Amino acid sequence: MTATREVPPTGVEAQPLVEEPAAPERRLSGFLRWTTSTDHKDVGLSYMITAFVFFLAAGCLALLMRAELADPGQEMVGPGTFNELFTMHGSIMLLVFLSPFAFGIANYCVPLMIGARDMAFPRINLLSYWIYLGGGLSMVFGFVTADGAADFGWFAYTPLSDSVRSPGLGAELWLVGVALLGISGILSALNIVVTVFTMRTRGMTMFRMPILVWNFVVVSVMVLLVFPVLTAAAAMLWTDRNLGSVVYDATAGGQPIIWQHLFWFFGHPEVYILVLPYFGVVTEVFAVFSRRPVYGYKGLVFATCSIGALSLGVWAHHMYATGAVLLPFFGVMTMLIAVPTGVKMFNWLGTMWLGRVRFSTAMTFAIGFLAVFVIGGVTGVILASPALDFHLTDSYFVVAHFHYVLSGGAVFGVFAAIYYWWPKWFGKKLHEGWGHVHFWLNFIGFNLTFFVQFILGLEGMPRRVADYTEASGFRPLNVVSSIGAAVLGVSVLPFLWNAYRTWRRGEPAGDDPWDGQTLEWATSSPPPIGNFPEGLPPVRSERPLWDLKYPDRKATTGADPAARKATR
Amino acid sequence: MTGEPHERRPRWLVPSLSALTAVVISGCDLGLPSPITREGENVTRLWSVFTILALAIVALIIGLIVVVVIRYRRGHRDDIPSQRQYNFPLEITYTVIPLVIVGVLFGLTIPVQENLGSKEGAADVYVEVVGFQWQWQFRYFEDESYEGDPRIVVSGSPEQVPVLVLPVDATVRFRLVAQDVIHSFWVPEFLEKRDLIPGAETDVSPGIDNVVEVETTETGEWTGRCAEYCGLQHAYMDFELRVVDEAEWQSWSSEAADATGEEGT
Repeated sequence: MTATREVPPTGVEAQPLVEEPAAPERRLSGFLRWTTSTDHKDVGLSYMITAFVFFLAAGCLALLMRAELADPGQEMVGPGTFNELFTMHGSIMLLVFLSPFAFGIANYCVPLMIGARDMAFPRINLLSYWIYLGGGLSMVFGFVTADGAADFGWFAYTPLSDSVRSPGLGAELWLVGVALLGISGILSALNIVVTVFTMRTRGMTMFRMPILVWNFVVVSVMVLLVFPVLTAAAAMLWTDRNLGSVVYDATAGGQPIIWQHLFWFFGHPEVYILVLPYFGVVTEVFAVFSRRPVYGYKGLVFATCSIGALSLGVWAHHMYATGAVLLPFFGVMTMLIAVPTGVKMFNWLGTMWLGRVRFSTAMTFAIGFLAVFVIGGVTGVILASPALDFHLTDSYFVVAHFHYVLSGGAVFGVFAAIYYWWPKWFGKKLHEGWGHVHFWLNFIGFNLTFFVQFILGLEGMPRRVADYTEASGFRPLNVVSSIGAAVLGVSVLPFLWNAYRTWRRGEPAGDDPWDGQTLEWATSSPPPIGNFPEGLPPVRSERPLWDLKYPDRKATTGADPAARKATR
Repeated sequence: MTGEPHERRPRWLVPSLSALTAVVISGCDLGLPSPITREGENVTRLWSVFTILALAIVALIIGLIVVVVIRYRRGHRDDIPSQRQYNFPLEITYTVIPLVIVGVLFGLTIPVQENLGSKEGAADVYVEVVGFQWQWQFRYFEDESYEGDPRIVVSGSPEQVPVLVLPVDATVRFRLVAQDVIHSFWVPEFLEKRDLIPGAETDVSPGIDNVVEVETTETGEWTGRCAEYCGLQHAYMDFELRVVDEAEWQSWSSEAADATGEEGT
């Protein structure tokens, strides 16, 4: 044993950041704090809690759909309602849950991880939260209008989404929601970029930032590049619907296919915008619970950057079957994304390799993420081949694929983040036993629900159908999928119970419950306003807190001599 | 990872991988429907290459995860492990190998995709596939200009889905036309689909290839579906495909042409 478990108090070599506020801290609570606090931690929690409520709502929509599809024929909802369900399920999950939840993590963790007092623009931060909440609610309020919510699918293809085929108020509310969410996302991204570029503490060079922060930089740049395109496309659709313009109207010289180009120019990078933050989350979790540095840190940063760059050149792989795109270009660009993604996989495995892996709930979710994400990844390469995509596109194979990426990948990342940072957010640890019950129900339910959908798609079941015939033979696998969905739905209950019991009688977690490596664990749980009242440990690598605790066990580029001595 | 202590390849990994591959190869179509066109046969072959490779990669990653979970669990070894962070040759290796795999897969894709898109010479049958909310109409023409009145028109009704009748061992060219919103023409056993885009047949939207060609190889009956979400009754927008032998084709097409002529007058 080379290392001692005694942790020196943080704040040796304290660096005063900015002069501390003179007035004593006065914290509001409850409603007023939610509506007025510009502290990045409060805004971050608002984002995450709101997004999680939307997640539960969109999950209920999915359960209704699976219940309807368990049997041929119409039982619970008619096709009209079903179409609203899948439209809103997709819209909420992608635009109102995953991305805002990630912004919540960014708001909470990025300033802490780079040793900053707050975000660069705290008031814009709060503003973007309220715009987000308004956008999300306006989408959902479609359900209480006379004609119901939007029902043209989350990618709203024209001409189906024009004023003739989708005249309802729900469609207008959906468009307004998209525009608001776009603006909110742009403001958040701007805030993150400026914070990271200008507010890093002394010694925190770009190549000493935690991978999570790096991923948020790449994601924010992507948001700034593509969200304006979505907002513009939505604005043009709105003028087509309300002011008589004909941008997408083929009967008047417009082109419906333009919508698809604009939408997917946003929509495909959006998938990476959704998933890259959770790549960052699991990277942190893998390193901490293996007691290892992030393996191949620089390679991982370059892999993230190249995923971001490549993702801007692949949008038309959603459009192979339109006959309107250059197949070889988009095929090869899409397949190339598999390379940096593969590099990430091996870096994660390399982080755990030779480590001391501890199966906390957060780590279990992160490992589960890796196991299901690889399936989402390889099916992505299959879909990238235009020759195969002609059969697979718009079938349940695609549904299975993107759920493996987003529901398996990203949502497992969400839970890894929740279990990992909960002690920092609320000062108490979630119960590990209930956490593992949650994980296993989630993992089994997830695979049961979505794996069979690959087979359904191959057999010829199109996506977005409210019904199928007995003769099609799709019934048995749909039953399996619906049972899986029920398990998946139930899996949230142990989590909610866990959160409740932790709130009532959780044990205090302490500042650094996981033997953390990065700066957010070098302050109290939860951190006070201003974050680091006692100053920061010196930043000499991407693991300042680790270096402080284990000064003789810094990361090495070659074989680690200390490890040899220790194990012999 | 190499050159560190604890290095030992798990003995069960290689045999179990090869066993998995053997099981998979014997499963031939690997979940795809059997193709009923010449073009579809190429797709099946490409699919098996992609899928076997995909399963191998999944097996590798899951296998490595299992190794990590078993060998590197913390247990009672509550010490600090190796802090080695970089191994440049290894990192280059696991960057280059995926690059090569991607290159090979792309190379294999290109010929199949060209074949799916090729439309050379004259076809035996010309059908204009018309999609609208929420039905199909099949119009049989004499040549590729698709001009004048169609020789045969097949429409569906609320009670009866339309039947697309085709001769076997014939080259069939489909021109895809949408009358309102986007639809997608999919017979799963063709192993390919294409969208029907409004305006694609006009000069307004140049550059949209809305023509597909297949060579039928089997007689039988199959279900075709709309694959692009197109509104309220999308789930019910089916049609029937019936591929028949030469004699049956002749009798059906003359009867159908007579019926179309009578309706027209």
